[in-house]
Amino acid sequence: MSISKNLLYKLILAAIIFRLFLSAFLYHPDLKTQYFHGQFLSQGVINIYNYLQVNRFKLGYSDTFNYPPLAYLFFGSHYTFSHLLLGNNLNNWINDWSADHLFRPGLFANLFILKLPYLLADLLVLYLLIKLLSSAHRHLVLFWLYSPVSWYAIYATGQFDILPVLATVFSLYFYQKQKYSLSGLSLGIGAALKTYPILLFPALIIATPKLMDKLKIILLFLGFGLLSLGFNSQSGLIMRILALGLPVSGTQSILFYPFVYFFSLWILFFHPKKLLWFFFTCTLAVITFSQFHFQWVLWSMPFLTILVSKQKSLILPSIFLIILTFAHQFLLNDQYSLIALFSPINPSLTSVPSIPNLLLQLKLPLDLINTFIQTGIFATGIYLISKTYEVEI
Amino acid sequence: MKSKYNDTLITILAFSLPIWIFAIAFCFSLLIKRVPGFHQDQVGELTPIYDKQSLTQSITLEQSGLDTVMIFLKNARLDNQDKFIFQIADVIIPINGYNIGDGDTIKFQFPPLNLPAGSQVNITLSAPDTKDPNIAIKAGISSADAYLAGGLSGKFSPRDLSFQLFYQPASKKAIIASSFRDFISRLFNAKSY
Repeated sequence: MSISKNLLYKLILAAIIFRLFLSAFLYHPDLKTQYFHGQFLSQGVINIYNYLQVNRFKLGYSDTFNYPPLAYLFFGSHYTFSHLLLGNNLNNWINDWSADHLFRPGLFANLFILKLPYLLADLLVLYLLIKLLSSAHRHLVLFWLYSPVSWYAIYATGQFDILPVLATVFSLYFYQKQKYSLSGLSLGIGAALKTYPILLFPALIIATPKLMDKLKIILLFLGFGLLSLGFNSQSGLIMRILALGLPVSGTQSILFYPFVYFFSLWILFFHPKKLLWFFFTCTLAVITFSQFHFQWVLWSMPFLTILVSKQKSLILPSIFLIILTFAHQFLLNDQYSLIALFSPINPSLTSVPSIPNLLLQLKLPLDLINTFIQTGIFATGIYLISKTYEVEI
Repeated sequence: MKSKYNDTLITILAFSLPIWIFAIAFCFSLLIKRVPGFHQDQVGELTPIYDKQSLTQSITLEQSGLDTVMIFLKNARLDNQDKFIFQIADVIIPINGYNIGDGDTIKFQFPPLNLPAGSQVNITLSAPDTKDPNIAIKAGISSADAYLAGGLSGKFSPRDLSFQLFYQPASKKAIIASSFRDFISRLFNAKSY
């Protein structure tokens, strides 16, 4: 199936307009907490980790900052910029931890401006995907644009994962252009925002043909790896991907994620052209073999878009996987997994119980349902990893 | 011809996506059983409730149908198992220390009060069986007058209990209508209350 250029442009425009609406009218408290920490940069706090260790119990919100330093720099810089545009409306809202915060004046403008960099990153990913796809398959960027995963993870919950996602797509783009150092640098920037791009570094080193370039990427890996993990040694990602395994004796077990990871690296060693497949496998395996956060699903989506463009038969299992991940997310005992996301439109929605609580009233076996969903994600993930290996790039 | 028709349909569907945000919010609004009223979240001090000290907070109803009050209580180390009484108007809800955690927002639910908006009612917390203030249940109160439409009586006046009010509106239609009015006013930057 192919579509006209005219229709493609209209659909891209409609997708952008929809994103603007989602940005302004949907809200998750994670967005507020991240920028709450970011505001301290404009107050001269350089080391947020030490600052919170000393002061966090005196603050309105007492959690720690759980991301690498570049993420703090990003939140801090964008907060400062947004404050120039929004003035005290932003400041009052970000520091209000009562239920009144949903009634604060300027709420919609705050949400919109704080999510604006994510829209720009999202559009850059779109641009890179168009560049990476052959002209005959460019309409398949609609798979990215109309994927509810990006609507939900980027605009509804306001997670900043689109920034490291952009870095990984840049890395793939530069690799294909044979600009290997830039490819490594992009991954490094991604790793300075969130931990997971570190996992892609060894693959880039293996797949890079020239020794000199390999050495440069190793240096970038060491530098950015230390920067990222040094400040974030209790990375939730690393703990989660090391949690699931098959017990063999006593406390020992065969861990699923490391098994798939090293097995894929081994394959890449003999087939360096499989870098895209490795990027996809490495990021998809995180949700297949761990208790994941929904925004992690976004990590593999650009790579899946490219793979789907090469093999249409992947579309159905991909949609099935997306449905399962949403089912998993909506069954979390968290009002903000679905219903309360719409609380800017109607703040009373925060008083509606979470979906599992509503379903429990119907006496549904939620544990069993969740077990089947997890198993479905596991099976579909393995299927997609094996099927995409056959895709010729 | 058919393809042109399909293109138009797809375009219309794509551009109508934003409407779905509001349609979904509207559908979820039908699940709302109660709407939040005033919230006084400030906890400047924890004060014990025992046989020689009960707390009475006056409140002014913002609308009729008050059916839930949430209060911040602390049963330190879960030491206290005595009877603890919540009273509002003529409704009395007895609980005990087993129901209260070590820093907990406790929900007291009762049949909707049939009093009009603007009525003043008292919330009283008492623990007649607790003799020792050191193991008493403690209630969070503000450090200043945080709620102008009422206050604690006695030595804590004009400070306020940490509480949240919820109302059960007369109908779903009333919830949707008030939500819509509130949304429009907030959209154009007017503070709703």
